[in-house]
Amino acid sequence: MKNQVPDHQDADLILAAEECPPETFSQYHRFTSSADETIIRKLSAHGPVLLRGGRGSGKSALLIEAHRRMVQAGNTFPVYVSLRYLPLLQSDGEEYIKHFCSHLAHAISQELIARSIEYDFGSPVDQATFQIEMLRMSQTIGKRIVLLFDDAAHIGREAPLEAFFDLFRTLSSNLVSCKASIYPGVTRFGVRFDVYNDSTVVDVSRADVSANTNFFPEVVRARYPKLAERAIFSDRLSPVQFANLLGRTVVGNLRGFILACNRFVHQERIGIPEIQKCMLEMATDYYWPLMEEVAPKLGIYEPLVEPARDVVEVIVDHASKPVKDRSRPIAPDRVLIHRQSVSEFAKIFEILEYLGFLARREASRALKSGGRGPVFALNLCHLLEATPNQRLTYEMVQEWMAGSGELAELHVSGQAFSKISLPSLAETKGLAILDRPVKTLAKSRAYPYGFTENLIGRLEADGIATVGALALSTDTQLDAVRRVGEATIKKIRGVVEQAIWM
Amino acid sequence: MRGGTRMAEAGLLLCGTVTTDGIAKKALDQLRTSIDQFSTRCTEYLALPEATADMIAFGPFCARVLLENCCAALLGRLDPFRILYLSEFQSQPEYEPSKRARSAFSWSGDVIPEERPAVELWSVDHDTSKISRALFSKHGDHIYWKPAVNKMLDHLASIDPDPDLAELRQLEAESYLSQTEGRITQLYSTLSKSVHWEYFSSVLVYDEVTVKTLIRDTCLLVGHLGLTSHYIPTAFGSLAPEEAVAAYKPFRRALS
Repeated sequence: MKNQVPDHQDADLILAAEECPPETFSQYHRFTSSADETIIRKLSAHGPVLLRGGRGSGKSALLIEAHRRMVQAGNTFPVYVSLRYLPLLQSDGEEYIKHFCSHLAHAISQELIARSIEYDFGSPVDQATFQIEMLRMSQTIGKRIVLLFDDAAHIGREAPLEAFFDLFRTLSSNLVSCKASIYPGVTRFGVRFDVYNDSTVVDVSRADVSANTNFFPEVVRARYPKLAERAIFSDRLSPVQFANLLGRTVVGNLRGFILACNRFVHQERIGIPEIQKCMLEMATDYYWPLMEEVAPKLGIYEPLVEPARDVVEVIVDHASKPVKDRSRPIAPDRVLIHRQSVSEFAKIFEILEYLGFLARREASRALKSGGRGPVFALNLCHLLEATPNQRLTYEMVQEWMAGSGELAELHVSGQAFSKISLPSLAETKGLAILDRPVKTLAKSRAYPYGFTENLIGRLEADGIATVGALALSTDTQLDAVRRVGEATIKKIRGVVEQAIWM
Repeated sequence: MRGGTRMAEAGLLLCGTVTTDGIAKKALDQLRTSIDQFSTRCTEYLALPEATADMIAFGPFCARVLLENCCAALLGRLDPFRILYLSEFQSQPEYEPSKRARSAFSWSGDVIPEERPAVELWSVDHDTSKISRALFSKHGDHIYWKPAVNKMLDHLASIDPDPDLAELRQLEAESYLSQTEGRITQLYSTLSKSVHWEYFSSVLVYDEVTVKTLIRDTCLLVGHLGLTSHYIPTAFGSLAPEEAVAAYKPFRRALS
């Protein structure tokens, strides 16, 4: 199975929540925990909320579910707005505000049509007019407006963030409740936005499977009923343990979890050896390609990809050292790192957390050697790969899932990170992916659902040479390309989305 | 009723246990009774499967009383002089319920510092009278809250992981007070709007989801403050760390 690209049937299961058709959304998404319920309520209630979580942590799904429930309840006017809109990524300041207003006005108009509400929202192009228009609309239709902004921040392009938070603050009022998803590490809120006073920050984290033992088993039951049947598992592994172990393996990252589950769909028997195989394969064919895929989307932070790899290797090597030294039988799955080191490599840790290489489990714990720092849970794929015999045992499963074993510690006076040098970063830089040739999106480990050589040739023949040009092409332009129809356009759009957005 | 009776722990969590008789004990006992009463009402509202007129009308009021009582209890435990003074003054003939007493317990001044603090925390030029003793003052943060959060985290790290304690592990001493102050200010202001009947448009009136969110956030916030307060060595009536955690867990569970 090594390096195998999943087939298209499996691809259908890898649905990012925002790409899931509304009619099947409830079928594939579960919100059974009290934590999810609390978040959904916060997303529907009065008041500004920032929903913070890494890539694939389920932020979009929570926003969409909140929207769905508000529509059902009928006492508010919710608008889900994906800010995956290329002009927003390429602009700043006044220009950003103009594009933002036009994008939001369009979303509001679409929602009015969908709700069969007769109201002409107009096309306000600045914050002040927009605010007045929204208040007027709220009073006319007699409902509070709830704006749910998805993908408000792009990790590789921070400049427009200040403009966004300024808008977020301005548009928020008693009649308009703004909610937005952001990733951990967003710090550029601008001078007018005080994150603690102007919003409530809510974290989405599923890394600790011992704190919520139902979530991943529920996802498996909803998406892979066969993998919830006791009969296919070995005596020492229950379906619930299987789901929670995979959830813990990918530090609670839902995308990683779905990709892991896909590997078991056609298996007739699942035991610890099969999970071990999956983990080792994912270390090679999921995590490192993920880094390759993301690099050109990181903008000025692209040069941090190499040191980010080094940081992962240093941490995993350190965590697995007690096993190599034979001082412990099981490698600790969490590592406590002095905050000075975390602060020195802050952006790198942000990228690693965002991609699901590790997850912050505790904000601050005392190190034995002095000082304090956060505790990170490591993805188990790399940890297992770094252990001497690469063998997963039942005892390891028990300890890693309980999250109760001893921690590895990386103290500030240690030399672990000393060999990693940080490159200097350019002042400003657009996303490199936009200038890359279309062939970058060929089917590969980074783009498992990428283009065939034939399609790339046809796009190039029609003058669509770069990813940026492809992203800006209209459906009519793509339709004019030889043998490109509605289905292929949809596929092209999906791959371009994956390439540009996080 | 989910957790309703167990919320009796709220008073213990915020007021601690005072065994020595005196004015402070009487004041804290009074606050404890009120906190227990209003926190129980709050969790009863949270447990309702559907909105009721009572919940919409009285939920924000109960949460606001809870918020104020809890802050008063904490202030009294950190700065007993203030609560002793107020208690004594209220028994004097000069205290007139129909007149506003300028030294009365007030949100702005006792809980949130009235003036913006000087840029430097420490300076030979600072006047004593201008150093705020408010619950969320910058000096209070330095002296009380930051060390207490770290002590609490150290204690939690030494005991078995527990889902009821999971979110506490995300707290950080450096940002704890600014985060808490920001949220408590929002909650106070939002709850007040429902207490003073400020809204004259039906669109603005809080719905079930908003009222429940406000109640829950208020309970959670005072729960965190209450637990942390027991790790302040000079706080009056503090519980032992194990007792504080034992009081916090049922309180937290009632909010799940």
